Amino acid sequence: MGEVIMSGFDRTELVRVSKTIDRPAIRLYAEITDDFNPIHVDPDFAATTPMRGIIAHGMLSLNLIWQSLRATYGPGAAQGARLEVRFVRPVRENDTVSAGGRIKDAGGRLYDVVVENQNGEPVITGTLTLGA
Amino acid sequence: MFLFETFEPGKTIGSRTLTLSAELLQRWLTLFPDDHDGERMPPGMTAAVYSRAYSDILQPRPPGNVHGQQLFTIAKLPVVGDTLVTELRCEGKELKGERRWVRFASETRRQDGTLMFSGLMTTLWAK
Repeated sequence: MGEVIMSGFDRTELVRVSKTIDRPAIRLYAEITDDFNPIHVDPDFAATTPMRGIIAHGMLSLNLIWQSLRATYGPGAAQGARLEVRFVRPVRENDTVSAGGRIKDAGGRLYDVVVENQNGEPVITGTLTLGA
Repeated sequence: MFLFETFEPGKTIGSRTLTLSAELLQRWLTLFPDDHDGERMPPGMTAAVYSRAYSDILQPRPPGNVHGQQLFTIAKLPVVGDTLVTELRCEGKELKGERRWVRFASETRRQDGTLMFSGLMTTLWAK
């Protein structure tokens, strides 16, 4: 990932980043967050739900938006930022998700952001407002 | 059991304390190696700090809740060794047909009272 620190917020698009969400990743995220909802970690239980299988924690994929911001503006860019999202579609194990963003107000600090799966379907949508 | 009927909008539900350890940060970096930033906590870990407080405070709760929306506002990112206190409040709840939506507000402060980050979570609450 790029580590270039920009002197100002002047990019119309955020750098796109991606990650494959496999079962070990979901398990590790559950351990880090103490969120062992069986829909995420128990394939037998998950198979009985309307999802018909394991889905990833929404906030696991949400991190890709923060990574996209960092890849664009450097590691300090999240200070003062406001990220507001909707989880619009589940992420299944072994999905590859990618995140990016596009400026919403010219010259401003507001970006439309999205995380998409490998089929180009949005799984998370929202806005990211950069700090001063 | 925390049921939809249990929640009182505007009422603080509880708080939890977590000291950001090098071990927890390292586990995060195992999952997201590109997030390395010295001893500073990556912004995505706001979700981990919040989730740990949420999961511990709201016990027991019915299985099958669905995360609908999330807001995070970052004032300052913690560093390893910071002790963080996360307070969880019911911001509101709404019954839309069969769907029971609950909104939780959170504030995470360093032990000296400095606001580090805040959140607002909207969840479809299971029966």
